[in-house]
Amino acid sequence: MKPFIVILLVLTAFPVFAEDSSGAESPDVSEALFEHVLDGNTLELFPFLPEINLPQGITMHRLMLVLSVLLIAVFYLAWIKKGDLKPKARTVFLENLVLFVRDDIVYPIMGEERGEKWLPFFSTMFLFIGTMNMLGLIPALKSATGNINVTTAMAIIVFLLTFIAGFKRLGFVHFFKNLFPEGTPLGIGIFVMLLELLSMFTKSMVLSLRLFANMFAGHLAILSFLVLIFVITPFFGFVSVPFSVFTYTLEVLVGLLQAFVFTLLSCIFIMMASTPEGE
Amino acid sequence: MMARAIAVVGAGIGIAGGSIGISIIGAKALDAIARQPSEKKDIRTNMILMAALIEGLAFFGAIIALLVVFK
Repeated sequence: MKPFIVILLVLTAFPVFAEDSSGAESPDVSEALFEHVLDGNTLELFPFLPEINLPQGITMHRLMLVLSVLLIAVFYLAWIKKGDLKPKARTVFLENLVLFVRDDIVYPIMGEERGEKWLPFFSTMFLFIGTMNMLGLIPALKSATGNINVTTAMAIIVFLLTFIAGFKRLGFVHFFKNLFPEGTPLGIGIFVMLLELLSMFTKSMVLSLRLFANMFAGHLAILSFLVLIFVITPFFGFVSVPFSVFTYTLEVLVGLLQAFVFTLLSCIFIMMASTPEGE
Repeated sequence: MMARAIAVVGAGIGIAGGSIGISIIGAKALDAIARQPSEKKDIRTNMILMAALIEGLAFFGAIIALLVVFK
C-alpha cells in the first residue's frame, strides 16, 4: 500500500511542471480532447517518440477490432485445455467468464433447452465487447466501441437475429400474427403491428447508441479533468489527477457493465420476438 | 458563446433527470431486497437493466451538448 501512495503523490505533483498558458489556447484543447477518442491514422506509442503512421486503409479502431479478436482467440486456444484434472488459475478465470454469461444472462432468460443453442453467440459477444472496452483503457490504444459504426453494426446483427429467431421458432406467418393483438379491429391491429415492428428497430438502435455514448463520454471525462491543468493553472493537478484516476477506475466498471447490459438486452429482445403470445 | 452556455445547461438538466430516475430505481430495488432477500438476484438484474436504459437517455443529452460545445 505504501509504494502505491508514494507513486500516486508523485504523479499528482507532476503537473506542476506543466507550462502555464492560461486561456490563449482553448481551441487547441478541444482538438486534443477529440483526438483522444476519435478514429485516427497514427499510432502514438509514447509521448516523446515519433508517431507511427499506419498503412493506408488501416485506422486505429480497425486495428483495435482485429487486436481484440486475436487476443480472445489466442488466449482461448492457448489457455483452455479440455480434460485438465487440475486447471490453472488462468483457465478458471476464462471459464468463469463464460459461466457468468451462461448462468446469469442466457439460462435465466431463455431456459436451458434454448439457451444452449444461443450460448456460443452471446458469450462471444460479451467477451468481444468487454475486450474492446478494456483495450481503450490502456494508454496509446483506443476502444473501438467508442466508434458509432462498430456498435451500430453489432446492433444490426442483433436486429436481424430477432427476425431470424422469430421466423425459425414461430414460422413466417405466425411471427406476424404474434404481433397482431387478438380480437381487435383490422385497422387498429395493423397499426399496432407497425408500432411493434418500429419498436423492435428502435430498441436495437438504442442498444448501439448506449454502448457508444458510454465509451465515448467516459473516455472524454477522463481526459477533460487532465485538460483543466493546462486551461486553469498547473497547480490544479492536485485536484484533477485524483479525479481522473477515480474516473478511470469507474471506467473499468462501466466497460464490463456495458458489455453485460448489451448482452442481456439483446438476449431479452431475441427472446421476446420468438415467444408465442401468452407463454 | 450563447449556444454553448445553453448546451451546457441542457446537459445538466438531462443528467439531473437521469439521476432522479436511477435514484428511484435504486431506492425501490433496495426496498424490494429488504422485503424479499431471497429474490435478490432477480431484483439486481432488473435493477441494472432499468438503470442502463435510463442512463442511455442521460448520455444522449451529454453527447449532444458535447457536440455543440466543441463544434
